Amino acid sequence: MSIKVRIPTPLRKITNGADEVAAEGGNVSEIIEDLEKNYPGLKERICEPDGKLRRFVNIYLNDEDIRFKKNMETELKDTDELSIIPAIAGGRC
Amino acid sequence: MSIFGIGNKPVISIPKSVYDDMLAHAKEAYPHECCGVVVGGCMKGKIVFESHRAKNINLERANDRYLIDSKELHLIDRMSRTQGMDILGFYHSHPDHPDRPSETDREWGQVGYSYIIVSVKGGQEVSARSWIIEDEKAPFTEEKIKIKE
Repeated sequence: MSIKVRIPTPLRKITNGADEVAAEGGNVSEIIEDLEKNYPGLKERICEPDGKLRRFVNIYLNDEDIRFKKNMETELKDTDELSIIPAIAGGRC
Repeated sequence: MSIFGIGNKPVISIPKSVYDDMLAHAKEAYPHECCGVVVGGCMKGKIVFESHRAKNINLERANDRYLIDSKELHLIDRMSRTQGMDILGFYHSHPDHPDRPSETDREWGQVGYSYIIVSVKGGQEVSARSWIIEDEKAPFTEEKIKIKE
């Protein structure tokens, strides 16, 4: 099953500039493994070594944060779209 | 070498109305930090078309931290994409602090985006500079803000 994945600016160097790519998989974890095959280096920018999402990264399934679903095990349908959304934060000190 | 192709220093062009609204937002939010998203396109350089005020959801430390709600950012991304635009970067304010990035800004900073920092002294005196990270391990470097009338 092929899913559209929205790639944010900081990761586009890895996807050769593409802002949207297709990946195969039945859940979020499988999609990330498939992305890694085609775009080596992408997984470590999204996941910690134990496979959990990095704190600087959010993934949305359509309009919902996967942390409020089954996280990396969230199941997908072929009409779904995943968006990788960087965490944007900071402050004066 | 510039990654955006104008001279030696990257440039971000911002319409005056958008620039003025960022400064106004910073004054209105004082003594708290404000934040927002700038969207536009990249031709010979980054060109901002519009900005979106975002809610600072770091309520406990709004005086010295900001956090943009990822859901809000996701919606802005979707909306921008349907209009043929892209997220170019973000702005936030530094109340009573200089318009340069802090260690916290660097810790959270992401490669490729512009980070516009608005300094607000006493809620009145404002100045802004824009910063980028060209490589994951690199420090912030300044990019020139070109204000378009």
